[in-house]
Amino acid sequence: MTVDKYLYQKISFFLVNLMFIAGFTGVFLSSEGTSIFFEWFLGGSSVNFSMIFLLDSMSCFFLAVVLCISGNVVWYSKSYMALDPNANRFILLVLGFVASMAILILSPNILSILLGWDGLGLISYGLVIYYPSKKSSSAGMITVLSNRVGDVCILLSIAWFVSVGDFNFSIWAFYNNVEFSNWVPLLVLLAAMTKSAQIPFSAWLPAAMAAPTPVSALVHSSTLVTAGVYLLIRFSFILGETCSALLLFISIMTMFMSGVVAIFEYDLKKIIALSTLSQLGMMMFSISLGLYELAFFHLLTHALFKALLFLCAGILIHGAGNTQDIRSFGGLSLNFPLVTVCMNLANLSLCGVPFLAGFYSKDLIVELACQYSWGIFVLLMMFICLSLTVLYSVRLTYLSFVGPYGGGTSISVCESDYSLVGPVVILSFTSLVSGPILSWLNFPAPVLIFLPVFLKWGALFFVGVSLLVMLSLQGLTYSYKWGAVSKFSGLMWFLPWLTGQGFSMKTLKNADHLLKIYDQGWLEFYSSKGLEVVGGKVNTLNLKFQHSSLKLHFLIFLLWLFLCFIYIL
Amino acid sequence: MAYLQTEILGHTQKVCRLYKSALKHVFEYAPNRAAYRYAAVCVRQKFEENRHLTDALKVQTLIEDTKEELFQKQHSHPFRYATSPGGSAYGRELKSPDWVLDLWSPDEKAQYPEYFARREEMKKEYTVYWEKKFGNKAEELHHHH
Repeated sequence: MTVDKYLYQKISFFLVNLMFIAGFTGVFLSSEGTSIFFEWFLGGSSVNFSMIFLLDSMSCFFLAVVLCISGNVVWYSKSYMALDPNANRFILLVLGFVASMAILILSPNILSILLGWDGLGLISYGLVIYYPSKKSSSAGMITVLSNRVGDVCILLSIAWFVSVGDFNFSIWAFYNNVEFSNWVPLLVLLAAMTKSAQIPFSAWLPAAMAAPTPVSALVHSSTLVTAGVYLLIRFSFILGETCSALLLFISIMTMFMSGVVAIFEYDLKKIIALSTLSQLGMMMFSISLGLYELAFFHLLTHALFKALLFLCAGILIHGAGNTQDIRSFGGLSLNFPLVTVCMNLANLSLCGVPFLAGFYSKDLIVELACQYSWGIFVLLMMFICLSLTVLYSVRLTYLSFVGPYGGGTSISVCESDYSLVGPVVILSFTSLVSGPILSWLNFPAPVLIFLPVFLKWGALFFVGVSLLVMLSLQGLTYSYKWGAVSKFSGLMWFLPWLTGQGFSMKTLKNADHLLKIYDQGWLEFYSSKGLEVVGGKVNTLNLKFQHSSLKLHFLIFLLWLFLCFIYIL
Repeated sequence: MAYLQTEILGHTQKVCRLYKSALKHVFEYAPNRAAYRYAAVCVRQKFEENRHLTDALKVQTLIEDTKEELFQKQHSHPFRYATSPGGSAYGRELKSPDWVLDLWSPDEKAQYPEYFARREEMKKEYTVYWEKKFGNKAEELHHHH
């Protein structure tokens, strides 16, 4: 239903051009070691404020990755959304999302960050409820309400920042002696946790998979959810010891929870969403250890291969007639050979298999975490979470591609559609080369790591052993036999219940109770209705005096006579 | 209101529905097609064993117990076909009914004057056709009173 036949290609071409501009600017700024501020004065005579954009290597690289993914996703949507009657609304929402993301990335100012942040929340809601089904509506409601908590935190932190006298965080970062209230880092942390779906705000991310798959590829895997991580990287200078310790605990819990839950999940998109959650936990983990640059590096590489994973999943879903349940898949490598290759590439990259994109960032985080010796519990949990990533990735591959036929129907003509396969191939190439390239760009000098041999090989050992275990266990297809564990994890540790009905239903019921007892009950009876009745009675009495009754006048006359008589006596 | 029985089911229907839900249950848990076929045969065997029961009370208890067992062992992710209720693609295309157009406000209708003029004409024609075929019930009722 688009006006122009080539509208999607044109938008995609435009976005990719912008990507090259942002990317080369980033390379230039990185090599020069400088940043550029654009200050745009707005307002008139009495109101004066300026909109500031910050161009530094970090913002430019992130913007380039966002534009690369959005360009490919728009191209992909041409075929994927071809039969959709509301495709124009879709493309407008996607462009609005890219604009909000650009504002967020380029803002060195908490007020303009709020602009981008709120824009992301609103547009993400619009995209989740894109399909007019009940499922989408409820998913959208969970998404927007969870994100609203973060918005409120940002607003509150703005109120605290008033005391500092400037909303530009780049200036505070420059002057290290600015003193903040203890509430500010906590509020920023809470805001980041809601956007990046950390425990206990994790339920919205799998629910948001009700959105169309290209949206999941762009919004709910690679860009929007990393906004929280990006915010924390930008505000790294105010995160104190307490907040870092809190973040360490939360990120490990998120990584572990999402890894376990993904093993018991059957929805293809939700499995990938949970893997996103696990990687977000990894980024937060890295931030909590003070490894901000590594968190940013992992953010970029993860964005590229996760978008690829979603686009591949989209082709499978498209080919299988919108079915997302992996129980009906199986043996799809025969029907979708190219997609199988690309999806496995993304999956292996996610696992951190050497010389793919994920390896460069993930391995560095793990090794540096080992080097700084954060205690056996932290290290053990980190290695377990690494293994869990391998477990759910191999399970997904096994059930979809390798395992026996599951009973569903699928058509492989999607593989001959260039606008579906083109973006997948391009992103596969980027996933292959982005690791070393981004590594060179982000870390021009080598990072020196000194570790004992068993720790140095620790990550690879866990990844390798998990791979072998999963292959020998046929992709953990019998995981349902684990009784209560499978029930508990299948229901995502009751987090959706906690976010949705657990809190809201109780409060709603209490509110209803209060409404009936007080607002519509006693308060109505005594205050509004009671006042009306009393007022009416006073009025009636008053009216009697107002009547020019002869008896009343005579009575008052007698009363006066009586009073005068008393006075005289 | 799901607990209210709105239809009368015969015994055969009850057993057939139970059999179908049992098959669906084993499908949800089966790790692959071969395992599902084996489990399905086992389910069939259980049903066949009780095929010739004549004691109504015993049959009723058996059905209730099996229903309870299926409920207790229900899967955390029940299998749904994509376009069936509860499925991932269910209700994606919302088709609004024709009468919604009559609820448009006058300024909205003014944007498509020709269409709504023709629509009004068609509605009149349809009313005439209806009254010719079935009579004017409103007037009849009025006269009756």
